[in-house]
Amino acid sequence: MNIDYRSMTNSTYKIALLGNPNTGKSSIFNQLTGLRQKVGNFPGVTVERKNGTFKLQNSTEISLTDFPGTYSLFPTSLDERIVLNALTNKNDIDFPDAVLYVADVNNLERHSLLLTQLIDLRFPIVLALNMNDIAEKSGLSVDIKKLSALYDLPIIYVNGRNGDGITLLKSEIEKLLETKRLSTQKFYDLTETEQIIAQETQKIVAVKNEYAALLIAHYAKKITFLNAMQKEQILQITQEQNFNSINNQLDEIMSRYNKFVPIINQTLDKKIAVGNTYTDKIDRIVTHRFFGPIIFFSLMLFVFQAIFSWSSIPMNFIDQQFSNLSFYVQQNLPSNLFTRLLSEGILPGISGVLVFVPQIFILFLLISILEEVGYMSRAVFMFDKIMQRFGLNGRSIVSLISGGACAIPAIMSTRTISNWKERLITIMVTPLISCSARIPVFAVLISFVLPSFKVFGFFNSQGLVFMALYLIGVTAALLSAFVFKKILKSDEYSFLMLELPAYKMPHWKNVFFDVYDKVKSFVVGAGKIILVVSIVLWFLASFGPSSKMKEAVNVATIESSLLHYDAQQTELYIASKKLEYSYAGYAGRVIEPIIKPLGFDWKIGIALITSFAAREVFVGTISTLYSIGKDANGQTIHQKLQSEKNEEGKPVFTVAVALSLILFYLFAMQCMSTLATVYRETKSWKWPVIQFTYMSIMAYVVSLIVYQILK
Amino acid sequence: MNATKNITNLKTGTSATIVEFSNCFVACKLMSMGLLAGTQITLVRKSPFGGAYYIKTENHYIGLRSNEAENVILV
Repeated sequence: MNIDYRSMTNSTYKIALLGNPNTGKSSIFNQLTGLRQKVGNFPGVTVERKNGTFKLQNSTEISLTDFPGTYSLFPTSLDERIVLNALTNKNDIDFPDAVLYVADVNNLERHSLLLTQLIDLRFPIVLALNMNDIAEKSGLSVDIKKLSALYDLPIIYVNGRNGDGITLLKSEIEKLLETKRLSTQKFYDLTETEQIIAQETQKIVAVKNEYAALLIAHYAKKITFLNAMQKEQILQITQEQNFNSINNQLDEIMSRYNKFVPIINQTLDKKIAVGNTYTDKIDRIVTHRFFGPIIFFSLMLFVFQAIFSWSSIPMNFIDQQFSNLSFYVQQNLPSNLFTRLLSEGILPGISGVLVFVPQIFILFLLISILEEVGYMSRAVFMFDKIMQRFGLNGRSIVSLISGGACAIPAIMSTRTISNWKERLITIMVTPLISCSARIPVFAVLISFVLPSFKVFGFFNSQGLVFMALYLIGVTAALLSAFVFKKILKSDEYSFLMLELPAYKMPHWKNVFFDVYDKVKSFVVGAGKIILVVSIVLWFLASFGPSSKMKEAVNVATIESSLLHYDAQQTELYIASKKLEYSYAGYAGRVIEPIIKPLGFDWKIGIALITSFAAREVFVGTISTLYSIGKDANGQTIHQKLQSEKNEEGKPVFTVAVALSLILFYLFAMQCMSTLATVYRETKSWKWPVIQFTYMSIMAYVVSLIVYQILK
Repeated sequence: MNATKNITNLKTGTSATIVEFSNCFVACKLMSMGLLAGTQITLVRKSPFGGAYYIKTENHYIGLRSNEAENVILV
């Protein structure tokens, strides 16, 4: 009896999901795995690794890895290099037992290049031919029996949108895993030189397949599983052979096309030009010289409008629920240190993370829809030139827009930029775009700069200031990018060469999973750090040198009774005094000489320190410092702050101070989680340190100038 | 002698056929995207701020920078 050892031990088979970009690969991934998927990183690099599981009919468990879409095994970006690295190293955790290859019926020709490379790597392969509406309507079909015979592979028609053919696909995978059958076709014969190189490489690296050895030799420098000596040795071999890697790649591509194009031509019922007249029509307007940019900016305006108007209700709800919960904890748990930690440190910390979920959700929902529809690549195309002037890439525009909600997912989205310099610059400047955490800070302070009135009848004056602040952020980001462009050196090739997919209706399942993954990575990734820092800051703000703290509380109690404060006022007053004499309070005094030239006193200094975890904490700290009750709304905070006088009896929050403070928050890198994300993405502390430094200096200088002029 | 024609010389809306590529890196990338010698292309439009070209083949659309488009030699 032939019992498979693996299914007995319940271990899973690994299948790699591969294909070109825009083939409907992720639809098929979602159809197969549903919610049983998780997003992580490929080991050692920060390319997103989507992995999901599903069961076959014989209850074998399959672990399916959705690799980045790639045109060939000749990688041009980090994303694509992952595929090469995983497929040429049999010790890689993603090295597959079999390959599920997705190709689009309409584009069978160009989608066959990578397929034939995989065949030559000797993987068991099943080919899923994705049927789409266009193919169905135009009646284009492939004689899959014939193609299956010629490619010598199992081929299944599937429809990623409605799930047709998925069951059949599963049973085909089952068969394939049982037989481990390899295609007997070979699509490329190595040249003599290539053979020598492959054989020599095989002496250095334990790799069985000749073609895999050749690919390793092509990309020796970028292959992650080689050590420095192996790289050196392989390089030597290629030099000895006078090997011109790129020319050989070109010849190989040509020879592959020459082999598979005739095969495909035999199996296509009819060859038709895609009836994509609507894409042409839409693009006549959407990428128009004049209307194109207008449509883009209108869309962005709509996105921001949506973020602000749709998110306020759920945000208030989350905020309210958490303060209720904190209150409940305070009332019902024994009054001890743990209860305070929970109600004043942990719960507000979690709330501080979750409160941003509505905005992030809306932003990513809209971006994901724009991407699914095919609009985003048009935006990349339109703005590539401008972005390039500033050392960025057309693809940076997606990150910069996302930065309007939160820099963390925005920085993560730079992974599609293949040029390291352009990607790094995008990462470095994205936090200058005003994110949603700055909004509560601006909202409180803006009223000191300008009263609310109507401009031209319908614009709100403060709304216009908001707009201006965003524009300042964007300008600062572009100018900084320009400076980085001049400083950083790179000899890497920068390119656009971008596929503009035909417009289509969004596939909602894909949108759902995309948004779900991104929101989750924010909550988990940023959440952990915000939570830890909140707890540390709670400690700093709640404790101080104990004798001083006691004394301060006693004095405050006496003062309160002299001033005939009621119970609530007394409580608030004591709380503010406690904060003054806490470690955070001392820290505020320590930095006062440094921030004095900006117009900030030590109380604002405390708020600067406590808001380092997350900017919006500023409002909470200021409320405590000035004894403003927890339920206060913007109006009461404003009134209270306006009446606040310094030792000389002059108001603390003047126009100059408020504006200086707004600009400080606009430029300063007041976000631990972003710095941690930058570290993760650049794999070095160098870049977050540089980022923190340059943004702080910028914030300091701008605030200094503005305050000194206006005071 | 005729000067060689490339995508940047093409008038919007007109078509031509690819003869060769004058840069290997561009060639390698575009060929793996399905653009080969002999492929007929149409210039759909130039980008609003210049510097990029939107081309169309029989069944797909590609955006190129001018320095990339220059390397696609046409007849």
